[in-house]
Amino acid sequence: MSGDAASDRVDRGLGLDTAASPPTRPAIPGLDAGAVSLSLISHTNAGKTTLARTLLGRDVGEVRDAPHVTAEATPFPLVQTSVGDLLTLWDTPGFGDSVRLARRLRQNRNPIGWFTSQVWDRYQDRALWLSQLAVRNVAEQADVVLYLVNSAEAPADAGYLAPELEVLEHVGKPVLVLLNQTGPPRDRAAEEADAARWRAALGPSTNVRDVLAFDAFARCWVQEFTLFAAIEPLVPDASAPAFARLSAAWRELRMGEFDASMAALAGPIARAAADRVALPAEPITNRVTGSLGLPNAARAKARAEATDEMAARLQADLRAGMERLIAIHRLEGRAADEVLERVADGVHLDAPLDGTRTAALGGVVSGALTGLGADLMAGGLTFGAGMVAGAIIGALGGAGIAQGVNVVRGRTESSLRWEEAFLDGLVTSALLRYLAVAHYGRGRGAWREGEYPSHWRPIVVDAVVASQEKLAAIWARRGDGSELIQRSLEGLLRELALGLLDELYPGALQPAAVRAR
Amino acid sequence: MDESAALETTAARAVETADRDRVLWSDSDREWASRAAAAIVGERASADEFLSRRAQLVLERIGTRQPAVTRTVRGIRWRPWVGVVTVVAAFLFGLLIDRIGGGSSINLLAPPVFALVAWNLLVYVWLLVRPLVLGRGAAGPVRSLLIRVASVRASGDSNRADASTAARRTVLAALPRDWARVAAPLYTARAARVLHLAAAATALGVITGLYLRGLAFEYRASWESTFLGAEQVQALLAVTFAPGSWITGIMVPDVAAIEAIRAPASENAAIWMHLMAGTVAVVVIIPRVVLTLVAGVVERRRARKVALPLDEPYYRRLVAAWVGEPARVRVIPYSYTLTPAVRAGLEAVLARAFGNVAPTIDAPVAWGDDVEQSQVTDAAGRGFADGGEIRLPLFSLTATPEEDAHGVFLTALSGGGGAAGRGAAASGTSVALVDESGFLARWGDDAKRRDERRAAWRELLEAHSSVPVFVDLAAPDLVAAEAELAAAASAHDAGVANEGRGRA
Repeated sequence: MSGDAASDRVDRGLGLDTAASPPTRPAIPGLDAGAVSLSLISHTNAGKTTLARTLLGRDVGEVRDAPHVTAEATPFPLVQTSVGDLLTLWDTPGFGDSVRLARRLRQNRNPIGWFTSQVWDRYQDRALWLSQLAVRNVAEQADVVLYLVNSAEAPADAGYLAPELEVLEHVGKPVLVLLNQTGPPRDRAAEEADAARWRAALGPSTNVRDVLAFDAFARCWVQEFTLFAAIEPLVPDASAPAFARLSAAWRELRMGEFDASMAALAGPIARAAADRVALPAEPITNRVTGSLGLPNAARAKARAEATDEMAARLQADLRAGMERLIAIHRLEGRAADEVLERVADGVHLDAPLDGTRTAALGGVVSGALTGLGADLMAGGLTFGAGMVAGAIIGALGGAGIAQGVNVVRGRTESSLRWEEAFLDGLVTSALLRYLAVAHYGRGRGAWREGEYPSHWRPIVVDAVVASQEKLAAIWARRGDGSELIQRSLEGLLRELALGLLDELYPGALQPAAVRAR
Repeated sequence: MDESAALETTAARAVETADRDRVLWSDSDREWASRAAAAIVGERASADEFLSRRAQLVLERIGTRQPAVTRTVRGIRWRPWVGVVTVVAAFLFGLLIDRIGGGSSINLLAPPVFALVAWNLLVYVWLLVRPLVLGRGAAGPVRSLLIRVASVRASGDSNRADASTAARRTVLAALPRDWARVAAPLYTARAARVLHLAAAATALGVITGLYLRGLAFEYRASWESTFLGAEQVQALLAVTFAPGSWITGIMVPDVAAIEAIRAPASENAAIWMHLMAGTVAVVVIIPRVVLTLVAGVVERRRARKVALPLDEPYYRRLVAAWVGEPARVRVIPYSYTLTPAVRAGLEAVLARAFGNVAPTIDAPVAWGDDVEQSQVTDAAGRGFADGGEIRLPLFSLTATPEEDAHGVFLTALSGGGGAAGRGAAASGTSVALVDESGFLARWGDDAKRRDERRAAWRELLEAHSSVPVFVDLAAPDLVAAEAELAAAASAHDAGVANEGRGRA
């Protein structure tokens, strides 16, 4: 499979962060290899550890909806370059009683010396002690501070904001504010309004350089490029070349994941396109009556069996593809049964259709519902196969002729294959699934299929409809085997997905150099 | 407030609090009743007068629409005939006891009178120790049964389950419950009166039965025993009939006379019957009549002055509105700036839950340190000093509950946990509102996440002996919010009461 090379790159990236060791000067001698440290800091329970998990793609620290869960500053290597540059992410305890912390700082102009002397607080006042730890980490380790805020709260209600900014001002490191806890992906206007609100609230603070929406739960990897681009001007000049290399390495890692994802999505669709089942040969009399359009019980049964066979294959393939997608994105969990619902669900949206097709797809939808009912009655044991089969049977019943599957008449035998509108539907639902997985932060826990944000569906459908001709060209060559289809389908999916991501996050995908920053 | 007025007031309360959806009794009905009652009783009247007049108006008006309510109120009243029937039945029972024994001879060692006397002595002992066992005012099983019989109500419910039927059912179910709680002391005294009189009547019935049969037949007195000799029997009878002997002046016969009537011998029983009658009169009838009189006096006093729980929000709200001073509800948001939509929702919830309140929504208390906290405490302290104010802290679910911030604020609000703190807790300030609107806007479909956050808030609030009420103020479910607030308030009251009992 062509995705293997890409996934190898991914695995190399994954291998890097298996151990949490403090950043040292890289062992590999590079020309001017450097280390850059980012410190995640925020008020307590704003989601620092969740964000660290999302960026690292593994379950570090402890995540719980409570204050003061993280009790020590921990370094995690985030990415490494071949010349030995190392980017480290520090997860710190949250600010607790920052008002008192700020007041004490005002009284004492030498924070570091003062912090180390405050052993008493460790036992007497945990919140204050943890705050001190966090600040000490930032003061000693950070090149750039990533300050998370709970954007579900109004800036005015975040009473801790002013004292915490005051503390950060004392420390004097450049600060990048990340809006966390924004909830499921929203449309750009809402995100922008949030960012503007916080930008206005943070305006007076001199060391806050930028405000980005970057949710630990629902960020998309392309937003990480924006994050890196925002960090780039903030790193000390000495580390700038190293950071540029790290940034490129990160981009390469994520783009590798993207390519692997496209391969994982294209595979099942390509195999479905090439799939066909031979129908049993019929006596001549049946063929005559069949051509007259008369109903025939034996033929209907043969077709239903063939359809079931194909549906089961597609089902297993889609499931495997989905699990691969989840693994590529370093999420936990398995493809849920409801993944297949999306298949039937996506079909009816895929194109402006002529009359026959509409009828057929109406049948797909109603049949899918019937199939779902069968699934539920079987206690989910059929793993959604009933759904797909139902969709197809519905299509057969809905239009009265084989529209979900086509009958191809050869010279000696007939065979059954997926109808093209159905394949279009698979493309739509694959893209929707991809967006869902790409937005699913590891910090959120095991992968779980949820509702898609309402603004995704129309743009995905529009994109697929716009590529109708290209799709048709691909389906036209389905007789040539799945390898060929997969290659061209991968290309088209990549094009479509990049277009969608660019529409959702304009400019994020452009190389940093091109960006008008 | 007398019994009848108290019942009506309680009935009006049941109608107005149980009908949450305003199906039977609308907001305008409520206002009308308050206005009309205020006009009738005038300014000088007491709160009791106002409430009872208002209750009459409420029942008159709702009675025309929902006769079942009037029927229930009528059905729940004490039925004097129950008392009369009980006493008469007791007398007849007494008359019959003797006949059940049958025959025309009195066994001196086993007359029914002995059982009667023993039973009553047992009851007196019980009356003495009962306060120690049951606590004051609690009704024993017999009294409870009598009360239940007396206030049995006809159920005229149809099976239709439309909204008004459901509302009526709630009202009709709530009324007997509420009334039983309010009238328990009165009914206990009343039942006591009836039961004492019934006991006296039974004793009288037994004696009357004896004498009546003595007119028509000759009773013979005799005794026989396997174990006892004449001396022991004489001693026993002398002790048992001592009260009768004392009141009638008849001496208990000596040992020789007793020996003479040992079975199969016997004698005319007249003297023994007098002794028995005297004993029963002294041991049963006279004390029971005295107890009846005492219970009657207590009953009358209680019937004249039924103590309604006027501290309840419902009554406080009505009286406050009548006095022209709406119930004061003060919401103190903590580090939470209310959007106009949330503010409107909050006002709707408060109006619904507290009636015609004048809610004060404070400027948010800043997330802050001890200095700012003490200012809060001062402000809160002043507000609390003149009492009667309901204070609700308001938090946002989007915030993480922190002991160092929210906890300190709650402590400050309840007066620092000292004596004043307990006072504040007792006045029902410890219900806290947690607005979910911001959280739902972000995480609407993520129930697990919301539950986690709710649990975190609940934990913090409970540590400060507060009860959280979670409400989406941007789109409040008024009915649910009202119910939850009421439940939280009563849960809290119960907690306080239990605590008080524990201390006592």
